[in-house]
Amino acid sequence: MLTEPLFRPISAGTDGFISVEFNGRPLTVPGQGSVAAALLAAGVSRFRSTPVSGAPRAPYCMMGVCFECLLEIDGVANAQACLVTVQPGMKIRSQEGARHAA
Amino acid sequence: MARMADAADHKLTMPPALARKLLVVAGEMSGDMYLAPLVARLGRLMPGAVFEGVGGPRAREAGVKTLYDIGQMSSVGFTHALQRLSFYRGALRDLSARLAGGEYDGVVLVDFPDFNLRVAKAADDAGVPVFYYVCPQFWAWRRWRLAAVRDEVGGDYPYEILDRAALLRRLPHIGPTVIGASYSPMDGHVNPLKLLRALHTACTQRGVTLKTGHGVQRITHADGVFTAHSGGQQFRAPKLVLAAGLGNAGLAAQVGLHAPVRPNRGQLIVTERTERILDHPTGHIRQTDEGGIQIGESMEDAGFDDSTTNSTLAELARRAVASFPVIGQLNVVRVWGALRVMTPDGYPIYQESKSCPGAYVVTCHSGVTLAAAHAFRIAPWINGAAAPDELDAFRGERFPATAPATQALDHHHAH
Repeated sequence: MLTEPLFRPISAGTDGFISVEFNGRPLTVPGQGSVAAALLAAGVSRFRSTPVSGAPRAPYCMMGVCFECLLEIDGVANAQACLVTVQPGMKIRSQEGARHAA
Repeated sequence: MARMADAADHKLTMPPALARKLLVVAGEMSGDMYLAPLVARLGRLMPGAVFEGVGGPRAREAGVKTLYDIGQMSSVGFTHALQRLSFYRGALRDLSARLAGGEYDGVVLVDFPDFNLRVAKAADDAGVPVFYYVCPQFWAWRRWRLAAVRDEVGGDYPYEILDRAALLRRLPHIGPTVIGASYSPMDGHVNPLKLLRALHTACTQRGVTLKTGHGVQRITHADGVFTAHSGGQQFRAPKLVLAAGLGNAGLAAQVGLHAPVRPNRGQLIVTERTERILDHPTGHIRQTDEGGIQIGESMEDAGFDDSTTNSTLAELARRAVASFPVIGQLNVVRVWGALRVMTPDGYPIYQESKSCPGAYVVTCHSGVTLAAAHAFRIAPWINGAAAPDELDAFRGERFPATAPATQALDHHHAH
């Protein structure tokens, strides 16, 4: 699932990396910015599958408009990953189809 | 479609300011839940007032002195229906005597109509004002309304009145204050976006050219040909169908028709897509096939202003969460306002012009709801088939030529 990152930080170095959990596995990501940016930098390219067709999706607008970057973050379903600041130890899961609601 | 009812449907008139001692009667757990917050609020509005009567643990916590407990009123603990009946009679005799003796300044009844309507009679006989909260009028009114609809359409209109238990089987997510609903298999939900796409596809396949962004300012009629004037362009045809929404008000008169439509604003909320929680659409809350939940029922006279207001959206959200608490967990992805195309009585206008034959007006506030009727009855008529029998009922002349007085529309039009 993880591939070569599409994005590289402008400033090189390993300062400020943190560990989060993604789909049950530890993942090292840049410790600043949004969850969406952190996962993209770590090589995650599949964030969710759509409720309608099940097609894979990844962040698109990165500014809270397109709802393509939805993830389950610390138990909250359908969180917009581009609007949530990444924190050490976050438990993050891909959003598979429609969220649960009961 | 299920049409929900909750306590907010019923307006409560304040008891007189001088009332000091109120008899309150809630006969079931659900009534206890309504009664407790009501008593708490009344207690603040009427310092020193005393509340006593029939209630449960919540009512006691709110300050009600319970002469009888709801546990005694319910069937639990009685081995015979006769025992229960005997207990009811005793309680009713006791409360009636207290009412007749002038102990109370007012009576607040919560639901439980079999018992409470008798208390109401006793209070009335004693000249004590009665305030009925969660009254049986909802059921009486809804039954009457549906029976009237059934009779109007010649009897072929199945429906059911569901009490809370029956409703729970169809909609397990209803909130604790929902007391019931009506249900008719004749109602359903159409995804409006998919319907719009289907209509566009059908038009394209039949060779229709859609000209968007072309407002029509003027229509002329000469030698059996209509000319629509749009900016510098003109479009000509021997037949003309006015389906211009609110624009019909001005255009109809130019071809001898009368379509006094006015804007009526509705505000809507759409949530994120979620797994299926509503198997039936309700009058104002429905889940689309793709999972989003659409909430909307407001009817506002706001002219051509199609913006949203926080107060209305908050009320829509409050009612939605009261109906289905699970909706409170969901994110809202969009809110918007839109203008219904409304006639004074809320019903459509379908008519061919007498003075300009070949000109038709077609206007209604929901082309989604009536899409099937338009496709199968109105379109063939415009295409030359005999007029459907019911068409005369929809003539524009049923409205006066001068500006009509605005009639109060009920929520059967709130789609």
